[in-house]
Amino acid sequence: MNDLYAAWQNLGPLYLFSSPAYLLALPLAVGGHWLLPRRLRNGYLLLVSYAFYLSWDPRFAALLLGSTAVDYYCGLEMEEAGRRRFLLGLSLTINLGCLLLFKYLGFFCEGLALLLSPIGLAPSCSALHLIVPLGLSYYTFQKVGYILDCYQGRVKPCRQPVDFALFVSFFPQLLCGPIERAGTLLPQLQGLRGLDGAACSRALYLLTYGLFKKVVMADTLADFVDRVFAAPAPSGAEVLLACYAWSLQMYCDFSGYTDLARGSAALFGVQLSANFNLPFFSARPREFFRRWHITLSTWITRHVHYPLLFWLGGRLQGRWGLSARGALLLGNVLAGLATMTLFSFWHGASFNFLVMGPYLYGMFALYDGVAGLLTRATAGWLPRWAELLARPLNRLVVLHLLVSIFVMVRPTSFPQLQRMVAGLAGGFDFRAMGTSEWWYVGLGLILFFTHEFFQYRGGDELYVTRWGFYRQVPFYCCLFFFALQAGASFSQRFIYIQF
Amino acid sequence: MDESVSTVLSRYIREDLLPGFPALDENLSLFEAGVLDSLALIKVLLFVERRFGVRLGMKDLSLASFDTIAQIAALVEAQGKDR
Repeated sequence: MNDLYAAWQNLGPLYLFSSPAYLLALPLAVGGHWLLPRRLRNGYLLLVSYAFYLSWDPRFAALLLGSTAVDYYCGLEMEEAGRRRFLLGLSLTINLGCLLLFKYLGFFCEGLALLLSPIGLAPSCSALHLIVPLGLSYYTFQKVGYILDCYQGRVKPCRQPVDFALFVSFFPQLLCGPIERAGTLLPQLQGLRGLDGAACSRALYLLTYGLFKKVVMADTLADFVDRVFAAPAPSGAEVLLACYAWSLQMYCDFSGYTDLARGSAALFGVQLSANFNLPFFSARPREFFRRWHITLSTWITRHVHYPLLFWLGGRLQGRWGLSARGALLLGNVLAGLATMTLFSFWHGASFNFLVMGPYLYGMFALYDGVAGLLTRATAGWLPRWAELLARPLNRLVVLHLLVSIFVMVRPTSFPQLQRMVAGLAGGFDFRAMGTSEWWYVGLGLILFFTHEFFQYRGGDELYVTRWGFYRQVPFYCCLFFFALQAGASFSQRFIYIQF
Repeated sequence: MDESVSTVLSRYIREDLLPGFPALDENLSLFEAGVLDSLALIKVLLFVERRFGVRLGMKDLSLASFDTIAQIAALVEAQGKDR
């Protein structure tokens, strides 16, 4: 028995989608689900979801269960008109209070200690750095979205406790999203789910391509990026490549995870939202937000940006002679700044993320201003060839803007940042870098970008699933070949889980 | 015969704001459907004020009152009656 347990332990943590333990347990969970009578399936899925969560840390399952019970109660009671505001306040206080306590309290305390240090006060904050429960930011936002939708009458409160608990804890999207809306996910969980050939084909594609992005691309790039960022004196060439590699690693890591989540959910007859839509093909920085972590940006836009915009507009109109248009314009700037700051700070309680929001907004505003000026100044007299050249150049500028944003969050300390800058200042000698380990990464990159280009050109993420059997086989063989080359290094890192 | 406010608005959105956008239902949530964002909202506000000669104040505007073509048309018509 002990041998069996030890063998299971060697398969890695169950809660990581790229671990052998998860990939072995998934077919068992799927088989059990479809063998059960329909009325028992949601209860079974709920048990599986909690077992999945318990495999990480049993203590925090109680937090998940408790906060789910509070929101179930608040949602139900909201149907009574008199207490709606109170219940909204109660739910928001508990949800945001948990987020603040576990994720941000240590950071704010450290900030306070830093401010107080010049006058000789240095409170110890070590006790306030709590373990952040996995998935807390994701399931909190999903529950808050549900409560706000109930309050605004956009969805009817869920009356079945099992269905609601499953909506909060459905294991494919529990730890890293996508952050689903109640109106999208609840009807699927409560309705008749089925599994047909198209769903299986979709699941196979998402699981395989998700694994490719995670294991082949993200983990291989991570080895290089970690090595450069840990080096005492990296060269300029290494630092430059590490910046691009880190951006690609973040994308492959999170979008690979999302694909694995969507593929897993598809096997239970549930369609989760796409969280990415080829973000590196953005023609404008603003477009990037419609393509990257889509469910979070949509959540923040709906629940923070628009309400804040109208509220600020109302407050600002009439001040300093502002008309409704002027109030909306100024309100839009302030709401945009607040939204970007929230978007970046949601990702992590650190100074890097706090600064990233205003930086993002400033860069995007600067880009829009300069691009608008250039477009107006050159309208009508640019030759055709110059117009054609301007498009890829524009995308290149946007891409580098995005890389500069990603790189902001990678350094873990100021000395590390100094080493990186010193490396860049030292010049670029690419010949000094070894190339033996890069051949299959290079081939993987070619496959990855070619595939993404076809997805972009056809506007169809799942075009491979529409191919015939004999065309699909070589595609999947390629992915498996690269996975084998990667040495099945089932990494225990998932960047976005820590958020 | 004068066109209705809804028809004019719908055409403005499909021809000027988002060229090529398919026909719009009067009760479609423009924010949810991604037709309106914060910048497009200001453009629509300017268009409405210029085209129909009304002045909308922030007290008239909210996410709940400016979300569908039918709601915007109702706002414009109410302003027209007040004048």
